[in-house]
Order: sequence, then structure tokens, then C-alpha cells
Amino acid sequence: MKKSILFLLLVIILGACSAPKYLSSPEDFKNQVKGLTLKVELEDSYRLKGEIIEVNSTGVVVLPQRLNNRTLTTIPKSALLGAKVLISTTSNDPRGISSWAAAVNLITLGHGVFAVITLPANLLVTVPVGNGAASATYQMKYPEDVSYEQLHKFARFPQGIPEGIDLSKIY
Amino acid sequence: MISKRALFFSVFICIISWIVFSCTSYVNHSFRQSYSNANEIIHSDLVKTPFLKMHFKNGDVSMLDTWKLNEKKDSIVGNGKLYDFNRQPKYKGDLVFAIDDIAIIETNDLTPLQSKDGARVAALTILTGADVLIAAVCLANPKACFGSCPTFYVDENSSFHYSNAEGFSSSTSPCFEEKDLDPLQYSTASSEFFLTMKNEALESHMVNELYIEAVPKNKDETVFVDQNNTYYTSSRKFNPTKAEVNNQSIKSDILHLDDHEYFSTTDSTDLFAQEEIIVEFDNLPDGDLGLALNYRQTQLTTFLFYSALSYMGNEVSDFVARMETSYLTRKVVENHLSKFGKIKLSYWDERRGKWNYLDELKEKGPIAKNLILSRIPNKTKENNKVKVKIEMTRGLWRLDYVGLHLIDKKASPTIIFPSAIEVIDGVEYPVDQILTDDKAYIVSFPGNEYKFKFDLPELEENKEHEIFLSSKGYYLEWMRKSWLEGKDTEKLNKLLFNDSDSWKEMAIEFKEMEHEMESTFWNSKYSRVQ
Repeated sequence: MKKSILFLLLVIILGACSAPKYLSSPEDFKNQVKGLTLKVELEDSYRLKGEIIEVNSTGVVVLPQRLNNRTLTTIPKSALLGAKVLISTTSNDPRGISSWAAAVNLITLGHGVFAVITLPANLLVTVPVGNGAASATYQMKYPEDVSYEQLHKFARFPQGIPEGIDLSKIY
Repeated sequence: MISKRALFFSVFICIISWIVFSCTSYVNHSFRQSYSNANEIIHSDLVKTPFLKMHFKNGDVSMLDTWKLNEKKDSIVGNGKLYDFNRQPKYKGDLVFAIDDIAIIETNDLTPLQSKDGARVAALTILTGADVLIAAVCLANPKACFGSCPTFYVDENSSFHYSNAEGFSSSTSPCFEEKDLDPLQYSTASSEFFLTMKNEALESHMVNELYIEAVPKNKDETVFVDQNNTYYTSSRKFNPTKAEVNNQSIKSDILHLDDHEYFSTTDSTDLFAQEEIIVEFDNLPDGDLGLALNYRQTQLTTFLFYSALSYMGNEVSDFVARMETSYLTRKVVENHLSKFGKIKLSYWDERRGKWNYLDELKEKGPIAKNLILSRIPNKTKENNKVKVKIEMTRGLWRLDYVGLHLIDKKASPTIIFPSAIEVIDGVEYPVDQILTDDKAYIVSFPGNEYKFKFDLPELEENKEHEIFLSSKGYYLEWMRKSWLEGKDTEKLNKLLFNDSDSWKEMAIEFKEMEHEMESTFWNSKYSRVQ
């Protein structure tokens, strides 16, 4: 019974993997009109993830993803010691592939007792494949892959937030 | 050794899988180019860019799928979408923008951002195919799945292909419990010896008694045992000058103790059809000689055994109980077991012009090879030549080695019982459980592993012990669900009472799966059942 529950759990976990909704797929990337996502670890291990709105001479303005704090936040240039810019997923069909990866494990039920060997062997492939399709991303490491001077290209407003836009109305 | 390679390969595949499929991929910022100068826009080769993203000074952005400069080169005309500063769609269709309103034009080279789904789909396709194939093979061919009796390993990490011995292969029921002596084909000068016993099949193994027989020898000598459990040492071997089946040479298959084996296929309608191998040896010296054979069985007996269990269906326990309690039933079964199971050896008597009986080898089992010696009477040799005939059931045996050995002397073994048991997987047992032939057993279930320690006696310099394993017990095959579906007690009775049509049907059924039986057998073996 315990084994069956564990097996179903594994299948469900694999099937439940889902791609981050704020990232586009490679084939949809050309239609991506918002700023890319900046993931940065600040002082006291405070992590901030949000859309890059503007990069100016003093810092990076981001729109945090947290629903309870959707106000523009400026990260000072000096605080931006190590960060990552998330570009897109690596899969065009993350749900389809992770569902397939989960479902293929079910075939091992037909292997009877040999599933003791074939299921782990399957999981060696299906876990990284399913997990990869669902969550692997293309990224840029800051400052290795993108310098501060180049970072503005990936903002919603690469030219800077235009005058006349009410900052409180940006969402 | 193989097992370590397999482990290394699995870990390697796993790591590669994670790297290929699961890890983050880093790219450089240069996939995106932006232009803020109008002249740069006009004079660049942006016209070759298939799509364009334009950021306007008011914060809007436009994605153009097709576009061109107007004649005055002060506007861009195209088709696409326009979004507001929150990137909500404002307009879709034909668009015209004054270059003066454009803050930045952006292009993206999507080459570094290719989807990795191709490799994922390929991996899942291969895996799905393999899984379906295994499921289909197990469903279509359940009588080919692995069965083994206890397997013994000197190196516990060895692949099951390299098992040193399989214990009491013929003891498929308590009434057939017997002692089995197996050469491990292993020698050591160490004062300690370890042997791992595994249960690698869906069986319960009952081990009554277990010990080793250690025979001291010089390092350049080989120790052989014959069917009467008499040991001989030999330091000279003679290869056959000729070895033929139906005038076809099989010499290269049986020349060395290696993985090259001679085997034939069964007759398509007669499972009892025999074959003859003629082996000749020339230029032999004076002295006592022994014919050594290293061999194992094909999967034919496994197939017949599993078929019989399948025909018993849910009455298997009734049948086994009858066999245990009825001498007559037991004899009927024994007769059938012996019908296949021997390799008959004869030698050519030149003076009388006829074949004379030499020996009958009866050691069974499809996994570990048995190295057995048959002593050749002095009168066999004429003109320094010996000609031997090996008669055996077609498709039942795999011969690895046939050679003549000059016997130096008889050797005396030392019987050594285990001094300790390490439970790798299974129930704890005290070591005295297997020291005597009594009612106390070690019971081993699928996946169980026990490691036995033996303390070897001291040796003279430059000597070592050749190790032989003696095991006594029996095993019970577990019924598989798929076997129950094949219940046919009428057919079983017909087979037991030598109905020729039923045996012909068995021959045809086996023939259909014979070529894949060996690989299916090994591939369907498992080692860890919780």
C-alpha cells in the first residue's frame, strides 16, 4: 500500500511540475513585450524577483512579483552584486512533456515485479526530463553575461520610464 | 567488474540526463540588439530582420511582423501589434510610425534560445518504446522470465552472468532436497574467504547446510572434481585436435574456459532429439588422463519447469503436496527430469571397434557453469590418441570447454563451515543454522543477500586453495499471475504420461521463443525485491 502511494505520489509530483507563468517559451519569446525577470538576493538573504521596468544610473527599478507588494522598487546599483536575468523556459510544451514523462512511468506497472528495477530506471530519465521541461530556463548571470550598461536592453522601458506615466499605474 | 561498469554507466547517464534536461542554460546578452539613433536604424541592415520591436518615447511598444521604411525614410510602415505602457494590446493591423517618435528599436537573435524539446522527446520516445517492449515480452512470454535457485558470488558486485555457482538447481521441492557440489573456479592464498549468496528470482530458497571444500594446490595446478566428488590436481592440459558435430568443426568454441560456448537449437518437433559431438586428442603422454567439461544448460529446462507450473495453475500446491506424499508421483516426475538431463560420454575402443561408456554428467542449471572431470581409463588410450563421443539433447546444453588433463594426483579437501554470516539484505540467522544437515534452514526471499565468511587453514609456501562449494537445500518457485491463466492440468497429465502429441506441441511452442529465450531470461532477472 505504502509503495502504491509512493508510486502515485511520484507520478503526481512529476505531472504537477509546471512552468513559471511569467516566462515565455522559446517560440513565444519574439512576442514578449514586457521586461525580463530579475532575480536578486539582497542583504539579509532577502530575495526579490520582479520584472525589470527601468535601468538608470543609480539602480534598477523592478515590479516585484509578490501580489502583496506590487509597487515599484528600486534596487541600488551597489546592491546588485549577484543577480540573474530570467529569459525564457527551454521548452515549448512544458506541460505536455512533463505529463508524458509522468505517464510513461505508469507503463512499468505492466512489468509486474520487474517494475522494482524498471521504475527506478524510468525515473532516472523521466524526472530530469519532466522537471527540465517544466522548470529549466534560459538565464543570464549578472555581471558575467550581462553588464550593468547592457542591462537596460531587457527592461520594459529600455529608454527609461517616460515622463508623464503615473508610476502608481504601472502593473 | 561488470557490475561496477554498469553502475558507473548508470550514474553517468543520470548525470548527463540532469545536465541535458534539467539544468539552467546561460546565454550572453548579445542575442538582443537595440538601436536608439534614427540614422543607425535607417542605414543598418535591419531590413533583413524578420520582426522588429519598437519602443516609443511615450512608453508604448510595437511588435512588427513585416515592415519597411517609407520613401522619405522618416516613417516605418508595417503590420503588427501596438501595446500601451502596461503592455495591454491597443491595436492590431497595419501601422505607421514616425521615426521621431521611436525611442529604441530592438531586435532579437533567437538562435541561442532554441527549445530543447527535441532531445526530451527523443529520450521519452526511446523510454516509452523500451517500457512497452518489456511489458509486451513479459505478457507474451512469461515462461522466459528469470529463475535461478541460490546464486553464489565470490565477488558480490559481479554481474549475474558471472555467478560462480548456483546451488541445488534440481531441488524444486522439499522431496527433491539434495546436496550439490559446485566448483567455484576460484583459488586463493588468503586465510579468509567470503562468499555471497543471493536470491535473484521469485523464489523462496531454503538452505539447510552450506560449507566449502578447500583443496590445497601449487599455483600452476588446476584442481578438478569428478561426479563421485573425488578431487584431482593437474598441471598439463591437451586441447582437442578435432571437435565436430555433423562434420562441422566446433573446436574454436570449446577450446578455452571463456564465454565462447557451443550450443545447438532444439529439434522443431522433438524435444528429446539427440546430437553427438566427436572430440579427438593426439600426441598424448603416458599417465592418467581426465576429460574436463565446462558447461551449463540452455533455457529449455527453465521453460519446461515454468510451463509445468503454469499448467498446474492454482492447483500447484495440491500437486506439490501429492509429489511430497506419493512415491509414485515423485518417481513419474523424476523420470521426466532425468529424461533430458544428462550428458553421456563414451570413448572409442579401437580394438573392438565400438564406443564404450565413460560417464554421465548430470549437473544442471542455466546460470553458472559446471567444470567436471571424468577420469579416462588407461585402456582408452591407443597410439597416444583418445577419441570421445559426447551425446546430449539438442538445444539443452551450452558447452564452454572440452579438454584432456594429465592427472598428477588425487587431492584431499578440507571441509570448512562458515564462521560468520553478514546479512546484506534479509532476516538475521545464526551461523549454526546451516552447519548441519538438520531441520534448521536459512530461508531466503527475493532480493535477500547473505555473505558468508570462511577461515581457511594455513598453507605451505607457494600454495593456494582451490574452492568448491557444497550446498544442500531446496527452493520453491513463486507462482506468477500470468502463469495461472495458462492452467491446463489435462495437458500436464498427458506430458507426464508421455503423450507424443503434447510433447510435440511443447517443442513447437519452445521453438517460437528459443532464439530470444536466452536474452529474455537474463533481461528479466531482478535483484532487489523489497
